[in-house]
Amino acid sequence: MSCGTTILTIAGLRVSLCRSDCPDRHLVSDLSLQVRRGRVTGLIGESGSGKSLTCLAVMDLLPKAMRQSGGRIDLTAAPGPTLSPCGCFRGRQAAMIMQNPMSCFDPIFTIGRHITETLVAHGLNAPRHTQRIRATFVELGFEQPDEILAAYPFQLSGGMLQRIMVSLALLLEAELLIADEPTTDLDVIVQARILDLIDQLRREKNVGVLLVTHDLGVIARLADQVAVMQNGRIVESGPVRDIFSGPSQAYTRDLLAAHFSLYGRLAGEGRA
Amino acid sequence: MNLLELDRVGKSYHRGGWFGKGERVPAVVEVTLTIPESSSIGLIGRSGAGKSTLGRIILGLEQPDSGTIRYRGKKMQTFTGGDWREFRREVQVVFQNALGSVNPRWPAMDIIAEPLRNFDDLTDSQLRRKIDFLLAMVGLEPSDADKYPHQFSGGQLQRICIARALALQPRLVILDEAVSSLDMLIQAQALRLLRRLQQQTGIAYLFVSHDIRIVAGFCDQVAVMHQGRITSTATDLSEAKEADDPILRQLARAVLPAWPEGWTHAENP
Repeated sequence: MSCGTTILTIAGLRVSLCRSDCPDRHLVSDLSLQVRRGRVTGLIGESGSGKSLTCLAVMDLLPKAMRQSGGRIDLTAAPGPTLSPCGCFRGRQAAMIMQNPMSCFDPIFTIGRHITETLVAHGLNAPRHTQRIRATFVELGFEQPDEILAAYPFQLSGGMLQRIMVSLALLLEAELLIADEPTTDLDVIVQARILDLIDQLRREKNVGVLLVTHDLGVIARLADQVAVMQNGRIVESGPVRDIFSGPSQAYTRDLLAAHFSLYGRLAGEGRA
Repeated sequence: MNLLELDRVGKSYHRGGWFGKGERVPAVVEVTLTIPESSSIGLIGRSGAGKSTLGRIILGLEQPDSGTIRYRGKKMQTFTGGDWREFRREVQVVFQNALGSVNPRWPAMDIIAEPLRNFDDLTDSQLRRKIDFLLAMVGLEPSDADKYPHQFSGGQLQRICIARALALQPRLVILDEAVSSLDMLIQAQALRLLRRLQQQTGIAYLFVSHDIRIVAGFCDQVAVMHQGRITSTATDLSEAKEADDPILRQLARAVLPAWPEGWTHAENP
């Protein structure tokens, strides 16, 4: 599939609380965006603006207390198994990296078990893929894949677990990667490495990426398009350079001003 | 006068084995550091470099194996009960994990009031006024005082922790990745608040972080830690990318660009 084909279309998404006593309370309203193959769409905004809910809605993983009360989410992937009615196997086309890698793994199972479980859930025969799992791990910079497979989650660092989540996306040949604050808790050097990895996936495997973050530095490093969210709505969106050079909304200007006042001093020399 | 002086402080932990037979893992090795009054000292390094352990040693939560620590000229090892009481009042801490450092069964009011109740003899109305003042200082509403930790977001909770740390007008606050998990607007707001308080009351900060960008803008002096040692100190980080210290260089080079690649907007925002 060529670069630039739309892989994810969200149109008029609305997420509401299931409670009947406040029917007008929408956590995400009228959200529309697109992710194209080989491109990174960034989603920024302060905490509580609905970024993560949007990701969960795409994966059909919204918490029980919330529901998608309007809008469409289309994952236009290559012809493959159609979505089951419950949508629970969306994970084959879309993979997700979450913010806190520690809480995404079950501490009593080894990494190998986690990987096998995921592959089996997606109808792949895990033993047949052992060689591929090893190769993928090597590709992600683990020099001793067997040691990693035998390790428990608590024996690995946050950055390593984050890379394992990326490896699942690779193994399933997902076409869409949803990265929800992938580097917030990691140290800067590991952060640079994870971002390089996402960049590499995008270039080499032509994966479309929906990147959620509150760090404009991450957006500047990776994204092509960016959408700014506030109170569950997109207030502004467009190509990254346009947003950085000429934000039209006061909120975006505030974000950029905070960003430059915090970080501009050091990164300034790299500026053309 | 120097508020705190560390002289060749060392600390190691046991790993494995019983009765002290396992190997010793050095966490802090011969660290010498001074914190002058009303200064901001940064402590940066990769995760696992021993930054937090050093912070805990300074707080007296861990006993150092070797070396001496002097607080306002007095050796910490010879502290009496009264000295500790004064020390606990004057040295406060904000940890990275806000949710883990508050009691989930207490409303915000009690969380902030705890140090005040421990050290000051205030009437209820005085206490209430003080709490409202502290909440306003960190940008929260007086009505938030009755909420419980689970009703706050991570950023709000972190600000409650900052309010608690500042309640007793300390002389030194250890900020252990205190703003790393906050979003950018709140981060900028929290840093402005800390800076303003420093100008008003002359607090000293020990700012522990792995993010060189924040440290560069906030601290007067920065110490770089690696594998338990302080490998270098710097006052100006603008040349850090070419620094002699490989760790500092590595940290500086891993910094994300503030602008998209090839962005040539002439106007300075």
